[in-house]
Amino acid sequence: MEKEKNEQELQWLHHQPERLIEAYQPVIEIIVSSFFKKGFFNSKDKMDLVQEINLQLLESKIEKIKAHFNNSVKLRTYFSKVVYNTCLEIARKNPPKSPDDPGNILSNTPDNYRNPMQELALKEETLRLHGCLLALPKSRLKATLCLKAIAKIPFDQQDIQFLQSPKTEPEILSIKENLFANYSHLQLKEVFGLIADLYKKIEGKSTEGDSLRKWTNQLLDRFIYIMNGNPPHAAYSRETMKTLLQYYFAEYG
Amino acid sequence: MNTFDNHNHLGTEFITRYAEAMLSGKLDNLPNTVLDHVESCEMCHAEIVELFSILSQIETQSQSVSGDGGKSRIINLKPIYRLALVAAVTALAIFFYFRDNPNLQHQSVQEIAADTSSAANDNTLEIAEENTSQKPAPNTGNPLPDQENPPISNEPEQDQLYAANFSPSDDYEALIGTTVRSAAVTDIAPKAGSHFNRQEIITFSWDLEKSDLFYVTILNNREEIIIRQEINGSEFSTSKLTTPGLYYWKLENDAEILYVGKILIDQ
Ligand SMILES: [Zn+2]
Repeated sequence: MEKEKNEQELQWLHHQPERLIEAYQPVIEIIVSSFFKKGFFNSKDKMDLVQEINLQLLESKIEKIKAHFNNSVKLRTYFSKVVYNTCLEIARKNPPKSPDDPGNILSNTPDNYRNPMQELALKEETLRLHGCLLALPKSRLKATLCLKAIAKIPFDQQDIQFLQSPKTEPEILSIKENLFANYSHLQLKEVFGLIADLYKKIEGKSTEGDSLRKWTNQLLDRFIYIMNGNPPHAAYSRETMKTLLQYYFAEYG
Repeated sequence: MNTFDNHNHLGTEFITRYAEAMLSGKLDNLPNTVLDHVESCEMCHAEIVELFSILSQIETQSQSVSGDGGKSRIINLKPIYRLALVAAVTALAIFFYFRDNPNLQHQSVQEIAADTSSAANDNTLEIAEENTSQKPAPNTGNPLPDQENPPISNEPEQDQLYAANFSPSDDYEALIGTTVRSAAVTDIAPKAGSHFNRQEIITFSWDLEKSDLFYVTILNNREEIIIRQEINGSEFSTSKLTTPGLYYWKLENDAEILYVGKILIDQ
């Protein structure tokens, strides 16, 4: 079904590009909306922008898609990237006056009341954070442990299941005893020391708690860079990022 | 296509492949050099996350977007865009015409433009249905519309207008059925997605623990407010929704949106 749809869309690309653009109107609208939600183009009308993109596609970009698209992904994916880049080009000319304070949707108590719009915004933010971690398959496991540690979020069995072996038994036991329940009373130095001991065993090389903590802060800064966007539309700090991590791990585990 | 662009970052092919692989859980299929680059490059990492987020939203919303009963989508264009679009479509058609019929290059541009203008001879540009008369012609590659069967719908103009009224608003679709934790709304009627006919009196009702002053707002699919009413009870009736289309309704108090629903007025 999905394959047939893609085939049909490819036919349109080559023979009826205006029909392809029509079929992809919902895609264009979703992408434009995502920019509006981030505070871009506030002075513009959403549908004006959709039409501006339609025109750019018709005038030149569809031809470029035809020339460069090589079937390595779905046409819809490639098209989305082109539309996203087009929006970004326009956004860069009109960056938001002041980036959004994520404090509007975040609070230190997860039960704090939010209206449906704020709930939706929070959902989208956690999805982006999920993307940040998902995109790092090689370090995801370590990143999950370290990000939980920096935000002092209790670990669970899922976090350590692939690290358990007879060799790592004492370190795992120590983590279970100390980090599976609330550990806000512990110093970060102690927390990272426990994780470093585990990785020392796994990787067979010297890993210090301090360097692991430094690596985690760098990772956190990278996630802040990604979440804030370029041009920036949000103003995450390490503290607000830690709060978002709490929501994220509550939802995604 | 090269893996890396001139600046030693991932090119579009691998950015799109990466985001698509994240969605399908097939990152393992990507080359190691690509995975390693993303681990070490925050710019490519950021680009991939943005595309992943967009593709996830498209996937989530595709059901509601395609749930307009397979009706033709029509884009109503503002006058300035209509003119520009007519010009663009005409130019595009001329381009294809000459490209695919090189032996016809002696024909004047004006003659071709006159032929092709039928592709944009209306204020709306429609996605034709499967029975469209405009056939894909891969061999001749001639996308020029057939003069006798232009790709404009044969439906009456009124029906075309109504079709546009059913195109969902992605902002509101995402909120359908949402209620807030602080004030649980129960026994909501009509159910989201209920159908009514044009003459019907529609009653919106709800149950809330504490009574309050509410506002019921009914909007069309273009998010334009049709009715806004202050209510002191737990229901509201109207017979004013006489134009077929998709409508959203929301229940609010002074501080917050309590519920968002949708109804359809059939043609
Ligand atoms: Zn890069």
